[in-house]
Amino acid sequence: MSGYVEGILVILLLNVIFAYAVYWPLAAGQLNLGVAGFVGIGAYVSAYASNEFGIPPYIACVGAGFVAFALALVIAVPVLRTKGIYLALATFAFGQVLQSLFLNLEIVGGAAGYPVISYIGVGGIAVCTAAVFLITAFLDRTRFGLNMVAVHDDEAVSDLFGINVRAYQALAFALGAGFAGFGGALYGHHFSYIEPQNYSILFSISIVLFVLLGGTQTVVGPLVGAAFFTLLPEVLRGSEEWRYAIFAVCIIVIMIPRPQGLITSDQLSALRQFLVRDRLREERHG
Amino acid sequence: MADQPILSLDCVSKSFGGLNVIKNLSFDVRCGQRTALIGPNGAGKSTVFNLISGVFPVNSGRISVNGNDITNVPSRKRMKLGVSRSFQNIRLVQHLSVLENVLVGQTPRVTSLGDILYPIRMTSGSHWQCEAMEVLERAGLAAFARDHVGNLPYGVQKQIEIARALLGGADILLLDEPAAGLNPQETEDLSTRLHQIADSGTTIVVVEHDMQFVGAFCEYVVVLNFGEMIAEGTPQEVRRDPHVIEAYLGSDVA
Repeated sequence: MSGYVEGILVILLLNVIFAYAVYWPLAAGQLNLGVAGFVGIGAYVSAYASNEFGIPPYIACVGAGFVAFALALVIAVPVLRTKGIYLALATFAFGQVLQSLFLNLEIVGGAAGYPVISYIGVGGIAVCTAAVFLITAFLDRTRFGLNMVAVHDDEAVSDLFGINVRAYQALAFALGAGFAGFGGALYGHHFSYIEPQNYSILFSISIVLFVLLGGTQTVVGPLVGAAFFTLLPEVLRGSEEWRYAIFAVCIIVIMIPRPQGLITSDQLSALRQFLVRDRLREERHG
Repeated sequence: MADQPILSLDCVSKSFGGLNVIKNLSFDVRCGQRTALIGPNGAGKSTVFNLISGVFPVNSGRISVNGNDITNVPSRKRMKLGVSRSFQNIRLVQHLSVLENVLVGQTPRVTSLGDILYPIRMTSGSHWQCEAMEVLERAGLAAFARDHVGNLPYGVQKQIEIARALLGGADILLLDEPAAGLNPQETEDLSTRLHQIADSGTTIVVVEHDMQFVGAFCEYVVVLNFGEMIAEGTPQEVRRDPHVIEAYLGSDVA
Protein backbone atom coordinates (compact mmCIF):
# COMPACT_ATOMS: atom_id res chain seq x y z
CA MET A 1 0.00 0.00 0.00
CA SER A 2 1.45 3.38 -0.94
CA GLY A 3 1.92 5.97 1.77
CA TYR A 4 -0.71 8.16 0.15
CA VAL A 5 -3.40 5.46 0.06
CA GLU A 6 -2.58 4.38 3.59
CA GLY A 7 -2.83 7.97 4.81
CA ILE A 8 -6.27 8.38 3.25
CA LEU A 9 -7.41 5.03 4.61
CA VAL A 10 -6.44 5.92 8.18
CA ILE A 11 -8.27 9.25 7.95
CA LEU A 12 -11.30 7.45 6.54
CA LEU A 13 -11.30 4.85 9.31
CA LEU A 14 -10.94 7.46 12.03
CA ASN A 15 -13.64 9.62 10.45
CA VAL A 16 -16.00 6.63 10.57
CA ILE A 17 -15.39 6.31 14.33
CA PHE A 18 -15.96 10.06 14.79
CA ALA A 19 -19.13 9.79 12.71
CA TYR A 20 -20.57 7.29 15.19
CA ALA A 21 -19.49 9.56 18.02
CA VAL A 22 -21.85 12.18 16.59
CA TYR A 23 -24.46 9.68 15.40
CA TRP A 24 -25.46 8.40 18.85
CA PRO A 25 -26.40 11.77 20.35
CA LEU A 26 -28.18 12.66 17.10
CA ALA A 27 -30.09 9.37 17.26
CA ALA A 28 -31.49 10.58 20.59
CA GLY A 29 -32.19 14.03 19.14
CA GLN A 30 -29.14 15.89 20.45
CA LEU A 31 -26.66 17.90 18.45
CA ASN A 32 -23.24 17.57 20.10
CA LEU A 33 -20.97 20.37 18.90
CA GLY A 34 -18.41 19.59 21.59
CA VAL A 35 -17.38 16.27 20.13
CA ALA A 36 -13.87 17.55 19.32
CA GLY A 37 -13.36 18.11 23.05
CA PHE A 38 -14.12 14.46 23.79
CA VAL A 39 -11.81 13.41 20.95
CA GLY A 40 -9.11 15.48 22.64
CA ILE A 41 -9.81 13.98 26.06
CA GLY A 42 -9.31 10.52 24.60
CA ALA A 43 -6.14 11.53 22.77
CA TYR A 44 -4.51 13.13 25.81
CA VAL A 45 -5.58 10.51 28.34
CA SER A 46 -4.34 7.66 26.20
CA ALA A 47 -1.11 9.42 25.24
CA TYR A 48 -0.35 10.33 28.84
CA ALA A 49 -1.18 6.87 30.15
CA SER A 50 1.03 5.12 27.62
CA ASN A 51 3.87 7.65 27.78
CA GLU A 52 4.06 7.98 31.54
CA PHE A 53 2.91 4.60 32.83
CA GLY A 54 3.82 2.35 29.93
CA ILE A 55 0.27 1.11 29.48
CA PRO A 56 -0.06 -0.85 26.20
CA PRO A 57 -1.56 1.40 23.49
CA TYR A 58 -4.74 -0.60 22.82
CA ILE A 59 -5.61 -0.82 26.50
CA ALA A 60 -4.83 2.88 26.83
CA CYS A 61 -7.18 3.65 23.90
CA VAL A 62 -10.08 1.63 25.29
CA GLY A 63 -9.46 3.11 28.73
CA ALA A 64 -9.43 6.62 27.24
CA GLY A 65 -12.79 5.83 25.62
CA PHE A 66 -14.19 4.89 29.02
CA VAL A 67 -12.80 8.07 30.58
CA ALA A 68 -14.55 10.15 27.88
CA PHE A 69 -17.72 8.08 28.43
CA ALA A 70 -17.67 8.68 32.18
CA LEU A 71 -16.92 12.38 31.80
CA ALA A 72 -19.82 12.72 29.36
CA LEU A 73 -22.19 10.98 31.79
CA VAL A 74 -21.28 13.53 34.45
CA ILE A 75 -21.55 16.45 32.01
CA ALA A 76 -24.85 15.09 30.68
CA VAL A 77 -26.61 15.86 33.95
CA PRO A 78 -26.45 19.65 33.61
CA VAL A 79 -26.02 19.87 29.82
CA LEU A 80 -29.02 17.72 28.90
CA ARG A 81 -31.31 20.00 30.86
CA THR A 82 -31.09 22.25 27.80
CA LYS A 83 -32.89 21.45 24.56
CA GLY A 84 -32.42 21.95 20.84
CA ILE A 85 -30.26 24.89 19.85
CA TYR A 86 -29.38 25.61 23.50
CA LEU A 87 -28.07 22.10 23.91
CA ALA A 88 -25.91 22.61 20.81
CA LEU A 89 -24.61 25.86 22.38
CA ALA A 90 -23.90 24.20 25.72
CA THR A 91 -21.94 21.38 24.09
CA PHE A 92 -20.11 23.91 21.92
CA ALA A 93 -19.10 25.84 25.04
CA PHE A 94 -17.96 22.67 26.77
CA GLY A 95 -15.81 21.81 23.74
CA GLN A 96 -14.18 25.25 23.94
CA VAL A 97 -13.49 24.78 27.65
CA LEU A 98 -11.74 21.49 26.95
CA GLN A 99 -9.69 22.94 24.12
CA SER A 100 -8.40 25.77 26.31
CA LEU A 101 -7.69 23.24 29.04
CA PHE A 102 -5.42 21.33 26.62
CA LEU A 103 -3.76 24.62 25.64
CA ASN A 104 -2.88 25.40 29.24
CA LEU A 105 -1.96 21.99 30.59
CA GLU A 106 1.84 22.17 30.66
CA ILE A 107 2.06 18.58 31.84
CA VAL A 108 1.03 17.46 28.33
CA GLY A 109 2.98 20.15 26.49
CA GLY A 110 0.39 22.94 26.36
CA ALA A 111 0.32 24.81 23.06
CA ALA A 112 3.51 23.12 21.92
CA GLY A 113 1.72 19.80 21.55
CA TYR A 114 2.50 16.38 22.97
CA PRO A 115 4.40 13.54 21.30
CA VAL A 116 2.98 10.03 21.59
CA ILE A 117 5.52 7.25 21.79
CA SER A 118 3.70 3.96 21.23
CA TYR A 119 2.40 3.39 17.71
CA ILE A 120 -0.79 1.84 16.29
CA GLY A 121 -0.77 0.95 12.60
CA VAL A 122 -3.48 1.01 9.97
CA GLY A 123 -4.46 -2.63 10.57
CA GLY A 124 -5.13 -2.03 14.24
CA ILE A 125 -7.20 1.05 13.47
CA ALA A 126 -9.21 -0.93 10.91
CA VAL A 127 -10.08 -3.55 13.53
CA CYS A 128 -11.07 -0.82 16.01
CA THR A 129 -13.28 0.92 13.42
CA ALA A 130 -14.97 -2.38 12.60
CA ALA A 131 -15.60 -2.89 16.32
CA VAL A 132 -17.19 0.55 16.69
CA PHE A 133 -19.39 -0.09 13.65
CA LEU A 134 -20.44 -3.54 14.88
CA ILE A 135 -21.24 -2.29 18.37
CA THR A 136 -23.38 0.48 16.89
CA ALA A 137 -25.11 -1.82 14.41
CA PHE A 138 -25.80 -4.37 17.14
CA LEU A 139 -27.16 -1.85 19.64
CA ASP A 140 -29.38 -0.43 16.92
CA ARG A 141 -31.04 -3.86 16.52
CA THR A 142 -31.81 -4.22 20.24
CA ARG A 143 -34.55 -2.72 22.37
CA PHE A 144 -31.98 -0.11 23.34
CA GLY A 145 -31.92 1.05 19.70
CA LEU A 146 -35.67 0.72 19.34
CA ASN A 147 -36.31 2.83 22.43
CA MET A 148 -33.73 5.36 21.23
CA VAL A 149 -35.78 5.95 18.06
CA ALA A 150 -38.89 6.32 20.21
CA VAL A 151 -37.13 8.87 22.45
CA HIS A 152 -35.95 10.77 19.38
CA ASP A 153 -39.43 10.92 17.83
CA ASP A 154 -41.61 11.57 20.87
CA GLU A 155 -40.24 12.06 24.37
CA ALA A 156 -43.65 12.36 26.05
CA VAL A 157 -45.01 9.11 24.63
CA SER A 158 -41.74 7.27 25.32
CA ASP A 159 -41.99 8.37 28.93
CA LEU A 160 -45.57 7.11 29.26
CA PHE A 161 -44.48 3.76 27.88
CA GLY A 162 -41.98 3.40 30.68
CA ILE A 163 -38.82 4.46 28.88
CA ASN A 164 -36.46 6.44 31.09
CA VAL A 165 -36.02 9.28 28.59
CA ARG A 166 -33.29 11.13 30.49
CA ALA A 167 -31.26 7.96 31.00
CA TYR A 168 -31.46 7.12 27.29
CA GLN A 169 -30.41 10.63 26.30
CA ALA A 170 -27.52 10.58 28.74
CA LEU A 171 -26.39 7.15 27.54
CA ALA A 172 -26.54 8.20 23.88
CA PHE A 173 -24.49 11.29 24.67
CA ALA A 174 -21.95 9.30 26.68
CA LEU A 175 -21.72 6.46 24.18
CA GLY A 176 -20.93 9.00 21.45
CA ALA A 177 -18.34 10.66 23.69
CA GLY A 178 -16.82 7.25 24.43
CA PHE A 179 -16.38 6.55 20.71
CA ALA A 180 -14.98 10.07 20.24
CA GLY A 181 -12.39 9.49 22.96
CA PHE A 182 -11.49 6.08 21.57
CA GLY A 183 -11.05 7.50 18.05
CA GLY A 184 -9.03 10.43 19.37
CA ALA A 185 -6.72 8.05 21.24
CA LEU A 186 -6.15 5.98 18.08
CA TYR A 187 -5.37 9.17 16.16
CA GLY A 188 -2.68 10.12 18.65
CA HIS A 189 -1.03 6.71 18.57
CA HIS A 190 -1.02 6.64 14.80
CA PHE A 191 0.24 10.16 14.06
CA SER A 192 2.53 10.15 17.12
CA TYR A 193 1.79 13.78 17.91
CA ILE A 194 -1.24 15.67 19.23
CA GLU A 195 -1.81 19.38 19.71
CA PRO A 196 -4.70 21.48 21.08
CA GLN A 197 -5.41 23.12 17.69
CA ASN A 198 -6.72 19.78 16.40
CA TYR A 199 -9.71 19.88 18.73
CA SER A 200 -11.43 23.02 17.52
CA ILE A 201 -15.06 23.73 16.77
CA LEU A 202 -14.30 23.39 13.04
CA PHE A 203 -13.46 19.75 13.61
CA SER A 204 -16.75 19.18 15.50
CA ILE A 205 -18.73 20.91 12.77
CA SER A 206 -17.20 18.95 9.93
CA ILE A 207 -18.01 15.64 11.65
CA VAL A 208 -21.59 16.75 12.28
CA LEU A 209 -21.82 17.81 8.64
CA PHE A 210 -20.80 14.48 7.23
CA VAL A 211 -23.12 12.60 9.53
CA LEU A 212 -26.03 14.81 8.47
CA LEU A 213 -25.06 14.33 4.84
CA GLY A 214 -25.04 10.55 5.24
CA GLY A 215 -28.31 10.56 7.19
CA THR A 216 -29.04 9.88 10.85
CA GLN A 217 -32.02 7.56 10.50
CA THR A 218 -29.97 4.44 9.89
CA VAL A 219 -26.65 3.03 11.07
CA VAL A 220 -25.14 3.02 7.58
CA GLY A 221 -25.80 6.73 7.01
CA PRO A 222 -22.80 7.98 9.01
CA LEU A 223 -20.56 5.42 7.30
CA VAL A 224 -21.60 6.66 3.86
CA GLY A 225 -21.26 10.28 4.95
CA ALA A 226 -17.77 9.75 6.35
CA ALA A 227 -16.66 7.94 3.20
CA PHE A 228 -18.12 10.65 1.00
CA PHE A 229 -16.51 13.49 2.94
CA THR A 230 -13.11 11.81 3.09
CA LEU A 231 -12.88 10.45 -0.43
CA LEU A 232 -14.56 13.06 -2.63
CA PRO A 233 -11.94 15.79 -1.97
CA GLU A 234 -9.29 13.24 -2.94
CA VAL A 235 -11.09 12.30 -6.13
CA LEU A 236 -11.29 15.99 -6.98
CA ARG A 237 -7.60 16.51 -6.33
CA GLY A 238 -6.97 16.79 -10.07
CA SER A 239 -8.62 20.20 -10.25
CA GLU A 240 -6.34 21.71 -7.58
CA GLU A 241 -7.58 25.11 -6.48
CA TRP A 242 -11.20 24.48 -7.43
CA ARG A 243 -11.61 21.24 -5.59
CA TYR A 244 -13.17 22.59 -2.41
CA ALA A 245 -15.57 24.73 -4.42
CA ILE A 246 -16.63 21.70 -6.45
CA PHE A 247 -16.86 19.68 -3.25
CA ALA A 248 -19.18 22.26 -1.67
CA VAL A 249 -21.35 22.35 -4.78
CA CYS A 250 -21.60 18.53 -4.68
CA ILE A 251 -22.84 18.69 -1.07
CA ILE A 252 -25.49 21.27 -1.90
CA VAL A 253 -26.63 19.34 -4.95
CA ILE A 254 -27.03 16.20 -2.80
CA MET A 255 -28.85 17.97 0.03
CA ILE A 256 -31.52 19.42 -2.28
CA PRO A 257 -33.19 16.12 -3.23
CA ARG A 258 -32.17 14.32 -0.02
CA PRO A 259 -32.65 16.66 2.95
CA GLN A 260 -32.85 13.64 5.30
CA GLY A 261 -29.38 12.52 4.20
CA LEU A 262 -28.17 10.07 1.61
CA ILE A 263 -29.52 6.99 3.37
CA THR A 264 -33.00 6.97 4.95
CA SER A 265 -34.88 4.29 6.85
CA ASP A 266 -37.71 4.25 4.27
CA GLN A 267 -35.15 3.44 1.63
CA LEU A 268 -33.62 0.61 3.63
CA SER A 269 -36.94 -0.96 4.57
CA ALA A 270 -38.05 -0.82 0.94
CA LEU A 271 -34.84 -2.60 0.01
CA ARG A 272 -35.33 -5.15 2.78
CA GLN A 273 -38.90 -5.83 1.73
CA PHE A 274 -37.77 -6.23 -1.84
CA LEU A 275 -35.21 -8.80 -0.71
CA VAL A 276 -37.44 -10.81 1.62
CA ARG A 277 -40.69 -10.68 -0.33
CA ASP A 278 -39.89 -13.74 -2.42
CA ARG A 279 -38.83 -15.69 0.61
CA LEU A 280 -42.01 -14.83 2.49
CA ARG A 281 -44.13 -15.83 -0.47
CA GLU A 282 -42.39 -19.19 -0.60
CA GLU A 283 -42.95 -19.69 3.12
CA ARG A 284 -46.62 -18.90 2.81
CA HIS A 285 -47.21 -21.26 -0.10
CA GLY A 286 -44.73 -23.90 0.96
CA MET B 1 -62.82 -6.88 47.64
CA ALA B 2 -64.74 -7.45 44.46
CA ASP B 3 -66.49 -4.11 44.28
CA GLN B 4 -63.43 -2.01 44.97
CA PRO B 5 -63.09 0.43 42.04
CA ILE B 6 -60.20 -0.28 39.68
CA LEU B 7 -59.75 3.43 39.03
CA SER B 8 -60.77 6.13 41.42
CA LEU B 9 -60.53 9.91 41.31
CA ASP B 10 -61.08 11.67 44.60
CA CYS B 11 -61.62 15.46 44.65
CA VAL B 12 -59.10 16.02 41.86
CA SER B 13 -58.41 19.62 40.81
CA LYS B 14 -56.12 21.03 38.18
CA SER B 15 -55.48 24.57 37.06
CA PHE B 16 -53.23 26.04 34.41
CA GLY B 17 -52.26 29.48 35.64
CA GLY B 18 -55.51 31.09 36.73
CA LEU B 19 -57.66 28.75 34.68
CA ASN B 20 -59.34 26.01 36.70
CA VAL B 21 -59.62 23.22 34.19
CA ILE B 22 -60.72 20.45 36.54
CA LYS B 23 -62.65 21.31 39.69
CA ASN B 24 -63.06 18.86 42.53
CA LEU B 25 -63.72 15.90 40.29
CA SER B 26 -64.53 12.52 41.81
CA PHE B 27 -65.64 9.38 40.06
CA ASP B 28 -64.99 5.65 40.18
CA VAL B 29 -64.59 3.11 37.43
CA ARG B 30 -65.44 -0.42 38.43
CA CYS B 31 -63.45 -3.39 37.18
CA GLY B 32 -64.50 -4.44 33.68
CA GLN B 33 -67.01 -1.63 33.33
CA ARG B 34 -66.87 -0.03 29.87
CA THR B 35 -66.90 3.64 30.79
CA ALA B 36 -67.13 6.83 28.74
CA LEU B 37 -66.05 10.32 29.68
CA ILE B 38 -68.11 12.75 27.64
CA GLY B 39 -68.79 16.46 27.56
CA PRO B 40 -68.71 19.48 25.27
CA ASN B 41 -65.42 20.72 23.80
CA GLY B 42 -63.16 22.16 26.48
CA ALA B 43 -64.90 20.29 29.30
CA GLY B 44 -61.53 18.86 30.43
CA LYS B 45 -61.89 15.26 29.27
CA SER B 46 -58.43 14.90 27.77
CA THR B 47 -56.99 16.73 30.79
CA VAL B 48 -58.49 14.04 33.02
CA PHE B 49 -56.69 11.40 30.94
CA ASN B 50 -53.47 13.41 31.18
CA LEU B 51 -53.84 13.58 34.95
CA ILE B 52 -54.49 9.86 35.26
CA SER B 53 -51.53 8.95 33.05
CA GLY B 54 -49.32 11.50 34.78
CA VAL B 55 -48.58 13.89 31.91
CA PHE B 56 -49.49 16.71 34.32
CA PRO B 57 -49.41 16.63 38.12
CA VAL B 58 -52.68 17.34 39.95
CA ASN B 59 -53.03 20.43 42.14
CA SER B 60 -55.01 18.58 44.75
CA GLY B 61 -56.92 15.36 45.20
CA ARG B 62 -56.05 11.70 44.86
CA ILE B 63 -55.94 9.25 41.99
CA SER B 64 -55.77 5.55 42.76
CA VAL B 65 -55.53 2.45 40.63
CA ASN B 66 -56.29 -1.00 42.03
CA GLY B 67 -56.31 0.54 45.47
CA ASN B 68 -52.80 2.03 45.09
CA ASP B 69 -52.45 5.77 45.38
CA ILE B 70 -50.66 6.84 42.18
CA THR B 71 -51.05 10.60 42.63
CA ASN B 72 -47.32 11.15 43.09
CA VAL B 73 -46.02 8.28 40.98
CA PRO B 74 -43.99 9.56 37.99
CA SER B 75 -45.68 9.10 34.60
CA ARG B 76 -43.01 6.65 33.48
CA LYS B 77 -43.99 4.15 36.17
CA ARG B 78 -47.76 4.38 35.91
CA MET B 79 -48.17 1.86 33.12
CA LYS B 80 -46.50 -0.74 35.30
CA LEU B 81 -49.14 0.00 37.93
CA GLY B 82 -51.95 -0.55 35.48
CA VAL B 83 -52.80 2.49 33.33
CA SER B 84 -52.19 2.51 29.60
CA ARG B 85 -53.50 4.93 27.00
CA SER B 86 -53.87 6.03 23.40
CA PHE B 87 -53.78 9.61 22.16
CA GLN B 88 -56.25 11.99 20.57
CA ASN B 89 -53.76 12.80 17.81
CA ILE B 90 -51.96 9.69 16.69
CA ARG B 91 -48.58 9.51 18.40
CA LEU B 92 -46.87 6.49 16.89
CA VAL B 93 -43.14 6.41 16.19
CA GLN B 94 -43.17 7.32 12.51
CA HIS B 95 -39.72 5.93 11.75
CA LEU B 96 -40.47 2.43 13.03
CA SER B 97 -42.43 -0.42 11.53
CA VAL B 98 -45.81 -1.47 12.88
CA LEU B 99 -44.31 -4.44 14.70
CA GLU B 100 -41.54 -2.29 16.18
CA ASN B 101 -44.06 0.25 17.44
CA VAL B 102 -45.96 -2.51 19.16
CA LEU B 103 -42.71 -3.85 20.65
CA VAL B 104 -42.12 -0.43 22.21
CA GLY B 105 -45.46 -0.94 23.95
CA GLN B 106 -44.00 -3.89 25.87
CA THR B 107 -41.37 -1.69 27.54
CA PRO B 108 -43.07 -1.54 30.96
CA ARG B 109 -42.65 -5.30 31.29
CA VAL B 110 -39.04 -5.39 30.05
CA THR B 111 -36.83 -5.34 33.11
CA SER B 112 -33.69 -7.40 32.55
CA LEU B 113 -30.59 -6.03 30.82
CA GLY B 114 -30.56 -9.19 28.74
CA ASP B 115 -33.93 -8.31 27.25
CA ILE B 116 -32.83 -4.75 26.54
CA LEU B 117 -29.67 -5.93 24.77
CA TYR B 118 -31.30 -8.83 22.92
CA PRO B 119 -31.14 -8.12 19.15
CA ILE B 120 -34.90 -8.15 18.81
CA ARG B 121 -34.92 -6.25 15.51
CA MET B 122 -32.56 -8.74 13.90
CA THR B 123 -34.29 -11.99 14.81
CA SER B 124 -37.83 -13.21 14.89
CA GLY B 125 -39.44 -15.80 17.10
CA SER B 126 -38.62 -14.51 20.56
CA HIS B 127 -41.62 -14.65 22.90
CA TRP B 128 -41.82 -10.84 22.75
CA GLN B 129 -42.27 -10.90 19.00
CA CYS B 130 -44.69 -13.83 19.06
CA GLU B 131 -46.81 -11.99 21.60
CA ALA B 132 -46.73 -8.76 19.56
CA MET B 133 -47.64 -10.62 16.36
CA GLU B 134 -50.51 -12.32 18.18
CA VAL B 135 -51.96 -8.97 19.22
CA LEU B 136 -51.52 -7.64 15.68
CA GLU B 137 -53.25 -10.71 14.28
CA ARG B 138 -56.19 -10.36 16.63
CA ALA B 139 -56.52 -6.74 15.53
CA GLY B 140 -56.33 -7.80 11.89
CA LEU B 141 -53.08 -5.93 11.40
CA ALA B 142 -50.68 -8.81 10.80
CA ALA B 143 -50.36 -7.98 7.10
CA PHE B 144 -48.94 -4.55 7.97
CA ALA B 145 -46.40 -5.80 10.53
CA ARG B 146 -43.31 -4.88 8.49
CA ASP B 147 -44.67 -1.67 6.99
CA HIS B 148 -43.60 1.75 8.08
CA VAL B 149 -46.24 3.33 10.25
CA GLY B 150 -46.12 6.71 8.50
CA ASN B 151 -47.46 5.33 5.21
CA LEU B 152 -50.55 3.60 6.61
CA PRO B 153 -54.17 4.87 6.56
CA TYR B 154 -55.47 6.80 9.55
CA GLY B 155 -57.85 4.07 10.71
CA VAL B 156 -55.08 1.48 10.72
CA GLN B 157 -52.78 3.78 12.69
CA LYS B 158 -55.49 4.22 15.34
CA GLN B 159 -55.73 0.43 15.65
CA ILE B 160 -51.96 0.18 16.05
CA GLU B 161 -52.11 2.68 18.91
CA ILE B 162 -54.59 0.45 20.69
CA ALA B 163 -52.47 -2.65 20.06
CA ARG B 164 -49.42 -0.86 21.43
CA ALA B 165 -51.30 0.36 24.50
CA LEU B 166 -52.50 -3.20 25.20
CA LEU B 167 -49.02 -4.69 25.32
CA GLY B 168 -47.86 -2.81 28.39
CA GLY B 169 -49.85 -5.30 30.44
CA ALA B 170 -52.11 -2.65 31.96
CA ASP B 171 -55.55 -3.41 33.42
CA ILE B 172 -57.01 -0.06 32.42
CA LEU B 173 -56.97 1.24 28.87
CA LEU B 174 -57.66 4.94 28.42
CA LEU B 175 -58.67 5.63 24.82
CA ASP B 176 -58.79 9.27 23.76
CA GLU B 177 -61.37 9.59 20.96
CA PRO B 178 -60.80 6.16 19.40
CA ALA B 179 -63.66 6.62 16.92
CA ALA B 180 -62.79 10.14 15.77
CA GLY B 181 -62.12 10.33 12.05
CA LEU B 182 -63.21 6.75 11.36
CA ASN B 183 -65.82 5.86 8.75
CA PRO B 184 -68.90 3.85 9.87
CA GLN B 185 -67.37 0.52 8.87
CA GLU B 186 -64.17 1.27 10.74
CA THR B 187 -66.17 2.38 13.80
CA GLU B 188 -68.03 -0.91 13.78
CA ASP B 189 -64.77 -2.87 13.53
CA LEU B 190 -63.38 -0.81 16.38
CA SER B 191 -66.41 -1.60 18.51
CA THR B 192 -66.02 -5.33 17.86
CA ARG B 193 -62.34 -5.17 18.69
CA LEU B 194 -62.93 -3.20 21.90
CA HIS B 195 -65.57 -5.71 23.01
CA GLN B 196 -62.98 -8.48 22.55
CA ILE B 197 -60.49 -6.52 24.64
CA ALA B 198 -63.05 -5.82 27.36
CA ASP B 199 -64.09 -9.49 27.43
CA SER B 200 -60.51 -10.53 28.00
CA GLY B 201 -60.54 -8.58 31.26
CA THR B 202 -59.24 -5.10 30.45
CA THR B 203 -61.23 -2.16 31.76
CA ILE B 204 -61.78 0.39 28.99
CA VAL B 205 -62.37 4.09 29.55
CA VAL B 206 -63.02 6.22 26.46
CA VAL B 207 -63.23 9.92 25.81
CA GLU B 208 -65.54 10.17 22.86
CA HIS B 209 -67.74 12.57 20.90
CA ASP B 210 -69.49 9.93 18.82
CA MET B 211 -72.64 9.47 20.95
CA GLN B 212 -73.89 6.57 18.90
CA PHE B 213 -70.67 4.74 19.64
CA VAL B 214 -70.87 5.63 23.34
CA GLY B 215 -74.50 4.50 23.55
CA ALA B 216 -73.71 1.19 21.89
CA PHE B 217 -70.42 0.39 23.58
CA CYS B 218 -70.39 1.87 27.07
CA GLU B 219 -72.18 0.69 30.20
CA TYR B 220 -71.43 3.74 32.27
CA VAL B 221 -71.05 7.40 31.36
CA VAL B 222 -69.47 10.30 33.25
CA VAL B 223 -70.43 13.73 31.89
CA LEU B 224 -68.10 16.71 32.36
CA ASN B 225 -68.79 20.38 31.73
CA PHE B 226 -66.31 23.16 32.53
CA GLY B 227 -64.21 20.74 34.53
CA GLU B 228 -67.01 19.55 36.79
CA MET B 229 -69.01 16.36 36.75
CA ILE B 230 -72.60 17.19 35.92
CA ALA B 231 -74.01 13.68 35.63
CA GLU B 232 -73.12 10.00 35.75
CA GLY B 233 -75.03 6.83 35.06
CA THR B 234 -75.98 4.50 32.25
CA PRO B 235 -76.14 6.02 28.75
CA GLN B 236 -79.98 6.01 28.97
CA GLU B 237 -80.03 7.80 32.30
CA VAL B 238 -77.49 10.39 31.25
CA ARG B 239 -79.29 11.12 28.01
CA ARG B 240 -82.41 12.16 29.95
CA ASP B 241 -80.56 14.24 32.52
CA PRO B 242 -81.60 17.92 32.25
CA HIS B 243 -78.09 19.15 33.12
CA VAL B 244 -76.64 17.17 30.25
CA ILE B 245 -79.24 18.43 27.79
CA GLU B 246 -78.54 21.95 28.94
CA ALA B 247 -74.78 21.56 28.60
CA TYR B 248 -75.05 20.26 25.07
CA LEU B 249 -77.98 22.23 23.69
CA GLY B 250 -78.36 25.35 25.88
CA SER B 251 -80.73 26.24 28.70
CA ASP B 252 -83.80 27.12 26.61
CA VAL B 253 -84.28 23.53 25.56
CA ALA B 254 -84.10 22.06 29.06
